[in-house]
Amino acid sequence: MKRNIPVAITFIVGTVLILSVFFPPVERMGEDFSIFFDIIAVFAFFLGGGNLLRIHSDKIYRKQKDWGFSVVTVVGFCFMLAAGLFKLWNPGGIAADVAAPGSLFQLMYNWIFNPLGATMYALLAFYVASASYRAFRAKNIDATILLVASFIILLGRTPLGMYATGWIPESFSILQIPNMAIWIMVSPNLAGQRAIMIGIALGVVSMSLRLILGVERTYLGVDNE
Amino acid sequence: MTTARETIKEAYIGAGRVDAYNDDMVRYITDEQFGYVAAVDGIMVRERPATCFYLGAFFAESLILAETGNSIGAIQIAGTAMPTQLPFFVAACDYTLIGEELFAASAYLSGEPKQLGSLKGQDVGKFMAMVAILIGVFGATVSEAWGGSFFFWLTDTVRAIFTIQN
Repeated sequence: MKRNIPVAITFIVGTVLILSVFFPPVERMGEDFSIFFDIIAVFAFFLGGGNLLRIHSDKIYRKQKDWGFSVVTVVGFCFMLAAGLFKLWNPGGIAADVAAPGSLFQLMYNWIFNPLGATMYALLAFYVASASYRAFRAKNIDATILLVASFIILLGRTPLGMYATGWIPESFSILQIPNMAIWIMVSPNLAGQRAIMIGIALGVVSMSLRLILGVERTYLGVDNE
Repeated sequence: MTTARETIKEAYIGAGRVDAYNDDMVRYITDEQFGYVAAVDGIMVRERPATCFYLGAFFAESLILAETGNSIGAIQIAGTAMPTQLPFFVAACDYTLIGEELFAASAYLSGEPKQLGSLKGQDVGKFMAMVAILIGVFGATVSEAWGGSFFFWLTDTVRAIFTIQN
């Protein structure tokens, strides 16, 4: 029973969602299932918030390793929750929009949350540099091709590429670095991406059929019955 | 989260290490992209896991996670169906499941004939796509070079089969 009910739900929902794409009468049911998903997701937020508080409160209570980070998490969570729930400092009062200009929630979002997110995002620039350094070392023929292609793309996307090869006559314009960069992007790069996308599409179809038909049950934590 | 816990618990039972499992291993962090990255990076740096698995849909967080894992010396296995994130995983991880391999992995590891059969089906699908591409290329080339309504029709038909219309 513990296995059969989830498999049955998967079969019914999966079949209806597929049919809703092809048969207009079932279209509405597909939309309904999407709404059901959103409703369940709302409850999941409550469960998630509760779980977060319980785990970190427990860590603080037991003074486990790095419990200070948990204090920051719990205080931040509760403070943001209170600011949004009780609409603290909201110029329009309790009936106003939660993100009304001047409200504590909006101020915290703009001046604390956004800069923190931007800081994490900014790390990406440094990580791209370090990953590129490792990937572009000409250790073998494949890495050398990658290095040359990336060098052409880098130059082609800057004015330097045009300055360096702009003198090449129009009849040989493909040898101009910006044009070579465009060719790499729209021919070998796009061809490779399309091959991967065809494979992904077939993989999704195959995986979906395995799940809907109950052949694949690893999402239940078991390989087979 | 209950489903995730059940899955992990069953996996521990399957491996005969149910004693090593506890519910707090599976926990909610956040649904915010960079808040999640900050938390997972922190866990990786503090707990220094031996292996990191990145499987599923990833966006800008892919390289931040993979490079952090690389900096702590963990063996990294990634798999995603997001073509834009694949280069980052290939550059930063030890092994990468590229596109369809992510979906084929569980079937391949299970060794079940029925699941392996679905992989054969994928291969047949790829073969059909190859044939359609060759017919389309041939039809487009001939129609451009010499004209002919049949080849235009052939090219358009093949294109229509593989075009998603909203």
